[in-house]
Amino acid sequence: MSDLLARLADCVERGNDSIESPYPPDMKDQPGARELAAEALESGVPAAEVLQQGLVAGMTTIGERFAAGTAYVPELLIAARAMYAAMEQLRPAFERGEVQLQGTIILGTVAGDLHDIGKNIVRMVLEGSGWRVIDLGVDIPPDRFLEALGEHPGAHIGMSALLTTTMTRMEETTQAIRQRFPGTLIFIGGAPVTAAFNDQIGADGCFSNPQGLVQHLQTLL
Amino acid sequence: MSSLSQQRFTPAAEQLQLAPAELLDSISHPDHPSPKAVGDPAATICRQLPEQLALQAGYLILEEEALEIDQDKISVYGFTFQCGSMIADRLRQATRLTLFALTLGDRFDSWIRQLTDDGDPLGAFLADTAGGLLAERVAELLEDEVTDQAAGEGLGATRRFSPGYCNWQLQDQEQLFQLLPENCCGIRLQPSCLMLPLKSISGIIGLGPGVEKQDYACTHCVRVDCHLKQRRD
Repeated sequence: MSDLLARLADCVERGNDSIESPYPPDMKDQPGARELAAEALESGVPAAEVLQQGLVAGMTTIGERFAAGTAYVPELLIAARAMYAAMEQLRPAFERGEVQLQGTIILGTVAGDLHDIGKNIVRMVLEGSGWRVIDLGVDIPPDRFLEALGEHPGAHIGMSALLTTTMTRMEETTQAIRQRFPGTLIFIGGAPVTAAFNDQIGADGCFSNPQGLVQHLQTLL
Repeated sequence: MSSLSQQRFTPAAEQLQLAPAELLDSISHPDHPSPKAVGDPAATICRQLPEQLALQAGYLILEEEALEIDQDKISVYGFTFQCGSMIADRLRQATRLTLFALTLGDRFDSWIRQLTDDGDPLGAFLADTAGGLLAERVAELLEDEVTDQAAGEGLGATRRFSPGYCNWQLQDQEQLFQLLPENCCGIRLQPSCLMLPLKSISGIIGLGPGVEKQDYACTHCVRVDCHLKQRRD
């Protein structure tokens, strides 16, 4: 059985989403992430195990390669595609409450900024690591983050900005969250964001790649 | 404010084609090419790209007596740009300033958004990257035209510089747009200095009898988040 989950993790890491996928060539015509996840569930492997040892394991490997600079964004994206194909098979188990997720993170690009490619990549890696993600989208004012925290008590916050002029909005949002929901963990990311800026605004962590955030979150569990 | 000339810039259609290999090169390491699974989507994006373009580009050359260059700033028509010492240094011999702006248009932004909404993050990422490459290429072609035109008058031209890069404060974008014609290329500047459409570039080029085209100083720059640094290095 562990061989089946190892193959599933391999399919996720290498982006083989289904038997119809011609890529990667050495996996052509072989069951992909979708089929292997279904097979594992049919043979009685608990959904939580399929998630952890198949999907999360595959996404962790590609995430670590991305963080180390040996994989690039396209590889991360095709891995995420395979991960979602397998996740679809797990959906009924999620709905039945058989799978416990790691926790909830609310993501958004701050007010005044409309960039979302980086945020979307973070969302995929987090979901592939077993987190529930509430993606608020782009141009999100502090009030919208507060509203989402009210709807999802205990959730963490992830804020993104791509401009030096918009990253300053992170401070305003952090202060608003601290005032209304003290104890909420707030993480920031985006091209201009630095550790010094993180400290300056009183956020809880700044990450240059999504795997860094995932690893940090693991230490908090 | 008066300008010597105001020009539309229209590249030839074939100059706006992007080869899949160029797109793939920009998103992979030379020793570690993109996986084959990315090849087909990249080809699709490059094929669809021309019909998503509503390109507008133009430049204007300001009158000679308007320009003052300081240690790390330049002044023109009462506006002062905190452009940093590297840019001021490159502009030192300039006697005229060319302002430019270009955009790929709103349709391009809608296309990327649609790809995201359709659950195709790889397509959205490739389209976003392709848009960045193409906008930079148009800026390069525009710079070439300005350089050639200046050479015809016995003038040299600097490279192009944009707010937000090379230590030039992004906030100066506001002043730059006050100097550009109203509704220039249909670009709307947001309070955050973000330009809409997103795939837009604005900037300046210095002209003058003693001006030489010097390289950017990327190797001396400490910024790690600059996407142009990787391309210009």
